[in-house]
Amino acid sequence: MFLSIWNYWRGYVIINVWGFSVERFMNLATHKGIYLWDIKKKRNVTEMKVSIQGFKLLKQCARKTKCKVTIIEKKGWPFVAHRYRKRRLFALGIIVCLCLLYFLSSYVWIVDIQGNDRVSKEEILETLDRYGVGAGVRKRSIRVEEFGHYLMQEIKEISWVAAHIKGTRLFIELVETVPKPEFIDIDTPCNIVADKKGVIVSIATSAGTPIVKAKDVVEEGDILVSGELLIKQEEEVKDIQYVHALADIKAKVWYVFKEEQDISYMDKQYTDEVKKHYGVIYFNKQKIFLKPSISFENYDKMSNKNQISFGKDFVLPFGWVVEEYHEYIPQVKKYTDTEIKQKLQKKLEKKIKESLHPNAEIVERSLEFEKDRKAMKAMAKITVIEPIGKEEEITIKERRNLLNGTDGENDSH
Amino acid sequence: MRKKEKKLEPPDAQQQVKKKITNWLEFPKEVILDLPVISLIGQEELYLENYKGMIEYNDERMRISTSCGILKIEGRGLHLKVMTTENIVVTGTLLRIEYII
Repeated sequence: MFLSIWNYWRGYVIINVWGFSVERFMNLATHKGIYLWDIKKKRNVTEMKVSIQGFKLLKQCARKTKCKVTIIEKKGWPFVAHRYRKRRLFALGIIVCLCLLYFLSSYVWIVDIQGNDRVSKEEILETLDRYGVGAGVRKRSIRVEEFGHYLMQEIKEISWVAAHIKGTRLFIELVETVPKPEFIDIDTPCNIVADKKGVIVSIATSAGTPIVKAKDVVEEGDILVSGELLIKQEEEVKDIQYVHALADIKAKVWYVFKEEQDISYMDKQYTDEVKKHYGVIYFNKQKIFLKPSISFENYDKMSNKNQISFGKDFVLPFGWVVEEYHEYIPQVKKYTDTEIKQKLQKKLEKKIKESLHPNAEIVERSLEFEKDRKAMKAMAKITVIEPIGKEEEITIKERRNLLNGTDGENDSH
Repeated sequence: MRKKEKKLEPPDAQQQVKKKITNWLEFPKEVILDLPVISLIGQEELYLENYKGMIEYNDERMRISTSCGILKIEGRGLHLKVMTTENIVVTGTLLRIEYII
């Protein structure tokens, strides 16, 4: 394998030798240090391979041994080079092309971002751009660790960044912070207040004074468990302590969800008429240059981008765009009642799932449909048992002073 | 002519001495005594080192002169893969290898 590559690189000649004593010819040639290989005896000639340098010396041997030598085939790179020796520009073109390839592959052309959910890709790209990282930046100038820190500083929702460059692609993986729920510190006194209207089903207080009991109807803002602890002695309030109220309260709550759906909808009837626009991509820009005019009234546009790349990761900043315009004729159609009901139900289901508390237990549900000329309305009434109450801090001002005039400074302890 | 004859006489005695020395010192014989080295790979390749010259060559029989006589190789579809000043590589189906002295 390697030997044949080497031979191809150096170039060799396949020759036919015939005459009185080919053996003598071979001996003489090898004694002169000429390397002969693949020697095959044909009927009356001997075929062999010899290097270009060797072939020049061979003429002498042939004369001495009175053998005749003819060339059958010339093989190898030197002959190819010789054939194309006058095509200098062609060779130059190849070299320029290789240089250009090397030059272009030292830049980042594509930025891949993974792991963003709340932060938009555009925002990250913009922030990176401000730092000087993005498509069209030299790979060597990118310090992966540093821009990670910058990104985390600039966008607070990002908690971790890892980046690496593969080919002409910059991969950025990031993890977003989990939104911190607002809790009141466990040492700060607070009440538990109803955050919605409902009927209390159960209440289990572990700290504080329960104000409501099961089967009580509460309005939004009502105190359910007070952080006030009255210390009584023989029916007389001696002291008031303020604590962080803690309780597990469940309530029956009603919700109403509404959803609407138009009866008629538009259906696209595609004609087979398609017009195409062609363009080129270069350095993240797009230019459409072949633009046949579009006579369609209604059309869908599909844009197809192709970038030239070597393998998956060596993407070059060049490519082409094909924009297809598909014509369609709009047609107004109507849903049947069952179809529309199904659609509405699905929508409602989704809405309910999104808005309910994860621990909510649906006890009862009813569904009502209402139809008029244009649309169908659906209303879902749902009874749910779910946790109720939110913490509300008791400020110093709100704290009651005792009748005997002691200040509220010793309350919280 | 006389000089040549004189020189032709001793080699045999000289060879004997050389043989003894190399045996005693355990030198590689092919180097000191200028003997051919033959390696065979199965039935299909023969590697001959240290030869003198080719006498006959075709695809059924080859005769190669060496320092210890003529080596005759017989087989089917023989062909010389490599031929340099030091070695010869013969491929094909080898059937018989024989020294003719």
